[in-house]
Amino acid sequence: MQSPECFEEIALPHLDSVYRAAVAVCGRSDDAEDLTQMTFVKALERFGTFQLGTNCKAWLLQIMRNTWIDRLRHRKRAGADVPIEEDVPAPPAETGPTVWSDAEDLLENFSDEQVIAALKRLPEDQRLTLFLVDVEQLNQQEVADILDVAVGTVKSRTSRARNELRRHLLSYAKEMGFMGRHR
Amino acid sequence: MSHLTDEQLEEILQGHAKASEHVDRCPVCQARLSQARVLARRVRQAFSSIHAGSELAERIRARTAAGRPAGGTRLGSRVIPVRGRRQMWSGLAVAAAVLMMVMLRSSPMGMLPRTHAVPAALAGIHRTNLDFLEQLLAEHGSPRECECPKSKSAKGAAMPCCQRGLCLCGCQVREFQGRPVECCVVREPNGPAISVVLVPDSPRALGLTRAARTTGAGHAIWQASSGPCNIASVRLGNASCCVMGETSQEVLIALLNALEK
Repeated sequence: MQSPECFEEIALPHLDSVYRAAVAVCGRSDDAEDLTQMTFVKALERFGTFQLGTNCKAWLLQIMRNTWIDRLRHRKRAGADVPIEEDVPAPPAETGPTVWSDAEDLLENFSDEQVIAALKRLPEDQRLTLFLVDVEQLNQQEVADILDVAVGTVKSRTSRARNELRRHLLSYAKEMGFMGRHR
Repeated sequence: MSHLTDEQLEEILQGHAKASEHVDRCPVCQARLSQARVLARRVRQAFSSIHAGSELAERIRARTAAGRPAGGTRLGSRVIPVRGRRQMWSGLAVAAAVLMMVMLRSSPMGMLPRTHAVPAALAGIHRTNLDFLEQLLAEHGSPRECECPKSKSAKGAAMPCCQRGLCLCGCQVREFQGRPVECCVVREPNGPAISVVLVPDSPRALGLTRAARTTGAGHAIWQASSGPCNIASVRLGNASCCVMGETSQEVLIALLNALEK
């Protein structure tokens, strides 16, 4: 059992990771800050159950995800139209593998804000999954534990998220005149 | 020839499987794999500039400290009790002025640690300063600010405040990205408060954008904004002198020019 005095030492170094994940799922900065703060408050309450030597960041991200789902459910009950889990429209199917002719050059044209904005257009579950895989670079089992889904679901969500993100970025690129061709 | 499925591609991307013979021979799948890697790297890069603001960290520390049993310590908390703050600000003014004078006289600052930050975190420092200033004024019940006389601010040479129609409202040590930074607040009579913060990172690392213009001494000006707060900065070795406030960039640049003199 961990003492609360250890909490700052063990948990607070992961503040940036939790905040970034909150930005990935919430988008808006105020919501992200609230979610981060709620996550740490809940984490402190449950800190006695945290086992030293296990992945504290993954533990915090799991609390953040559960807190976020609770908030979505609360808002949904309150009448807001909020997608939870898989209640989101599927992206249009692609007829075959799509390849950008010059992906690196193309992506360099986007600002960080534009990349994050494109990510925010993904359904929430895909957004968090892709964030955990690509940004936090957690392995599939860790991501599955955080999201409370099967490893296979993580794989399929990651794949869908990547395709969807690419589609949004392509759309941006065309709108902004970054490219005239693709495939 | 059937291409890799998306799931197979993910397995390879995440290092759970090795690229198959098919990938070696298939330019389409090679390109898909390469593109997915580039995309993942770009997403990672986009988030690398996002950090929790010092204000949020402070709030969480305060909340977690409040949740502890009696006698628990407030590790790292920089919340300063209202009582005695005025004296502390006056005392810190001298230290900050000395530091500013040294930095503005082109210290290379090569020993300072390099980290990344974001304009929002800088703006958070300014908001915190404004809150403190408001409390300070409310506490003393007077519009007069605790102006630090020129004689007390390190001989007045580095602080433009008392020489150019600005008054020094106070100085403080704040936490920025887990490190202490010196900052002070200045204002013109009836003008907006402006925070001056010395951060041991280059303006580029702070996420500021280089403007086309320079200061009178030829230093490149870097700018950003976060909400109502504008930020202007010049590079001092590996550090940045950032001025920020809810005012125009012109006013901030004028202050940067004044600081150079």
